[in-house]
Amino acid sequence: MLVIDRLHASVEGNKILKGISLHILPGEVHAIMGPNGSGKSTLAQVLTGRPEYTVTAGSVHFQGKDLLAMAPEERAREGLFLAFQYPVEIPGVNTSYFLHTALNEVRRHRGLPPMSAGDFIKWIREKAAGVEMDSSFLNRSVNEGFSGGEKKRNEVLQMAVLEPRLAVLDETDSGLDIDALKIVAQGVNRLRRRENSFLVITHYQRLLNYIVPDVVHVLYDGRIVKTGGKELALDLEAHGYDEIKTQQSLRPS
Amino acid sequence: MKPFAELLAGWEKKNQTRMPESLQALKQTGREQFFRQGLPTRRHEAWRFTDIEQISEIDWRAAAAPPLTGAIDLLRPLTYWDSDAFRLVFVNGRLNPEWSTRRTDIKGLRLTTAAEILQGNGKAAWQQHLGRIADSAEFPFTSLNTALFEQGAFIEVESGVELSRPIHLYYVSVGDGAAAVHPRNLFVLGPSSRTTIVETFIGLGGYLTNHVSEWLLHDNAAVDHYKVQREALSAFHVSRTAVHQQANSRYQCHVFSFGSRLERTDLTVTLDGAEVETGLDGLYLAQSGQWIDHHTLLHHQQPHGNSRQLYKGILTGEGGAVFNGRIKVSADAQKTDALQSNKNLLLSDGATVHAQPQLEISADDVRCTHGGTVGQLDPEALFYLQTRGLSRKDAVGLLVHAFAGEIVDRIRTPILRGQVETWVHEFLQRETE
Ligand SMILES: Nc1ncnc2c1ncn2[C@@H]1O[C@H](COP(=O)(O)OP(=O)(O)OP(=O)(O)O)[C@@H](O)[C@H]1O
Ligand SMILES: [Mg+2]
Repeated sequence: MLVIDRLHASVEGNKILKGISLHILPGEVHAIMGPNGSGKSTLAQVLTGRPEYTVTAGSVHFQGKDLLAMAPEERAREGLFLAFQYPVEIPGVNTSYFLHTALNEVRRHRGLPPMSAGDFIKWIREKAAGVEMDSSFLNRSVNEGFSGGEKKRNEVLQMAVLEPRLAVLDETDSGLDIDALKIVAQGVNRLRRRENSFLVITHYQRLLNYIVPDVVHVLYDGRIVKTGGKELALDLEAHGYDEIKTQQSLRPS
Repeated sequence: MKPFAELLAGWEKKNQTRMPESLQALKQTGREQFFRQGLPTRRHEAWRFTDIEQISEIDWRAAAAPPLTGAIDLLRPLTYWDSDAFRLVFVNGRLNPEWSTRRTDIKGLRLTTAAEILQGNGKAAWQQHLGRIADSAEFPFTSLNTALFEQGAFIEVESGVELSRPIHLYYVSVGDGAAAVHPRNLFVLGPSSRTTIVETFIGLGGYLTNHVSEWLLHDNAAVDHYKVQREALSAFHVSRTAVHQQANSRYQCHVFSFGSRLERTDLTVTLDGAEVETGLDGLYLAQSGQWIDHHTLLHHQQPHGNSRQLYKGILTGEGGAVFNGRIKVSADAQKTDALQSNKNLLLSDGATVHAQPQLEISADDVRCTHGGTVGQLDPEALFYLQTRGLSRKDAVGLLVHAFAGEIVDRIRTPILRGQVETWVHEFLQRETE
């Protein structure tokens, strides 16, 4: 599904990612944890093709194709989705209209006919109900004036509508109350199939109770410094990152 | 040779007709004033950013009657052409009776054409108002229009009348590079009347439109005024709209600048009565080879006036625009509430905008705010849309439509709104090709 090989990336001349390798198989859920500023969001943004980030070395293959050679929209059409840590407010752009356009782009890429406006309304209402989002949100501008939690839910709604092959969730659980957390987890679990994969960035083991990961990685200072099973998350929750930080500072550079 | 000299000389010969004396005097004054003023240059403060040298260089002649097939081909594609409006069509300055509605058709509406008045046949209340609302002291083009106008509509809506059909005025020009038209209108809107008026400027080839409209809103009158400038890209459009509002009246205008190589519009509103409401919406688009200049003046003269102004511009290529928004509040105009905003979206590095708000406030208990922005599309928003599968072009389109939407959505006539949306879309298509 996704093969990242010794990826280096920088922004405005600062090296942020310093050789990340990651291999996600179809159907797998990987979690990434790590202290603030370690490069988790940077990794997510590089995967989606944010222009400010420059890849200086390494490669990324998505379903066998060279991901880094694709424009952001091609990546999306190929089935990559990012739920943003900080979703953008877009005044004047109607949520439902925008998602309809997006879905039809993705469908066209997959050789499917466009979905009619009528069918889309039914489809999106159903998906909105799935994340317990009132359908009145669909006629509002994208994220404009949404509360923090509502924005996160809107990300999950978009994911549900676009049905990606690989969804990257960047702290989608942050700022959510416990009920909202369950709703987000349900949204993810509903999409879990043998061919769909997830990369879940989080600070809290709590989310991983609901979205059970196959693999947990620890990202520190632009590198994956530890990889383990779901029990690694519990371990980190109990002991924090001190041990990792100490080990890393002792590491020969 | 002085610009327009020949035209003005020609006018003297025409002046042998049955034109009423007061009108002869008015036109004579306009002519003398124009000779004194001459065409403005960039040394004039109000013309600092807009160079009309290209206008002064041409030896303008009165526009000849154009082939009518060319004119109708411009009108028919308009979405609102076939609506149930009361319609007046001027082609190169001449009223075309065939495409215009018969004037007896609407109750409460009195119409005289400028041509009739020049022949001494008009019955409208023009004598009291013509040339009094649009002062020409600082406006050479208004003087010129006064001296030279031969056509236009003088419209009166009677007291208490609520027109169920809008009035559509079309000014169609087909020019050969040196054709000038000087349409002149007067709208007298009676107490408590309700009216919608749409002015459309459209054309082909090279020409100059020098338009003047005077508006008087009596107590409690309300009007929605749309001015759609969709001139040929090789045409010049100079325009003056002067509005005089009496107590409790409501003037809402929607100005669209989509065509012409050079537009200069002066919109002057005098809030001369208590509790007057004024709304000015503007949307201008400029691509390479286009320069759009909007000067507005809102003069609050009486207490409790409320004005809302929002002008938005979208510029591409080497396109340029000027927005000069002046708000004057006289000492008597206490409790004035004036809000002005001008937002510009630059889609290229070569585009230029000069934005100048000017507040002159002589009353102490007022609320006046103004704000202006000149910016680019939000890169974060563009990227976000792209990560959902939209091409960059579609993402740009969505954001630009959202930007224009604030103005477009306030068009109350759906078929006109659809037409404006299409034009914005076409403008973007041209841009992103
Ligand atoms: N545009 C930028 N310019 C300079 N530095 C940047 C820029 N964007 C990110 N960084 C830096 O890159 C580092 C990694 O940031 P990133 O957002 O990837 O961290 P993170 O692991 O997601 O942190 P958090 O847990 O707080 O979300 C930080 O030190 C950050 O300050
Ligand atoms: Mg982050």
